[in-house]
Amino acid sequence: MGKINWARVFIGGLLAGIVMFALGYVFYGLWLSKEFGAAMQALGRPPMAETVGTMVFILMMSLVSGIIAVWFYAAIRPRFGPGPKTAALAGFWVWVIGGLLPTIWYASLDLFPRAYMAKDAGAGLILWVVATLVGAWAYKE
Amino acid sequence: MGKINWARVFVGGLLAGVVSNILGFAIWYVYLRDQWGPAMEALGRPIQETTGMNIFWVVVSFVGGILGVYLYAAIRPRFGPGPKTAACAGFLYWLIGGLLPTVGWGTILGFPRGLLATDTVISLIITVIAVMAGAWAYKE
Repeated sequence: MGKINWARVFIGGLLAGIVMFALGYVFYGLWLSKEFGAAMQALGRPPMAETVGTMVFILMMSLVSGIIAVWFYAAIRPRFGPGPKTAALAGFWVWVIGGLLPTIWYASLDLFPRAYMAKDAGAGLILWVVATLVGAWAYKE
Repeated sequence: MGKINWARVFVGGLLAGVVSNILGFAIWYVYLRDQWGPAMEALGRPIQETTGMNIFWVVVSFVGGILGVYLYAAIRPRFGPGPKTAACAGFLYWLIGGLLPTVGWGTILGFPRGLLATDTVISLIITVIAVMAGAWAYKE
């Protein structure tokens, strides 16, 4: 079995990360921001400040997540074959492990309203699958 | 490439879940509970250690075990069968399901960094051992 093309993992991963960051802004920065702010207030925490530092932190998290997602796509390619179906599958499983389960976990601790967490998880599914599809498109062996 | 052996994913996953539950509960009661208690109370959400909650944690650990062994099965053709690939799957699981959410949510919620770091390292060890145990039972 051929080795993973690391250069392409990084290129695809950065692309996926940018998509993730952009979609994340739409979902969490626009759509869910009010609900999130209210939930944070209920916890006695200040709303997330939209500072340069916060944006850089979110961007870094998105880029790292994108690289991991494309690496996972590359890792499962020999099992499922190359293409968008495998990319969507990779995005789906990464979401289940990194999005859905932690969301269920945090929801069980009553940190955030369950309705908010459900929307958060739904947005995460779209975000992970779309970003992995875009990143995997740039991955070649 | 052959298909994933789902029966073995479940068997291995349950084994991984057992390991994860034993190690997780042991470390929770010996050490982590005393650390997380005050952190959650600071947010006005004291930990509810009800039977229902414990059952929920057990079930989530079993689901996690099955997912971990599935990851191993999925990447096996790329890296070959064996403990090295299993450890890699465990590390990947921890990276996606442990490190990233902890850094993200933990930072947002303002949990003490030392606690997050300790919790993350412990979860890395537990996850890698659990997935390795589960992968041992996986055959094709």
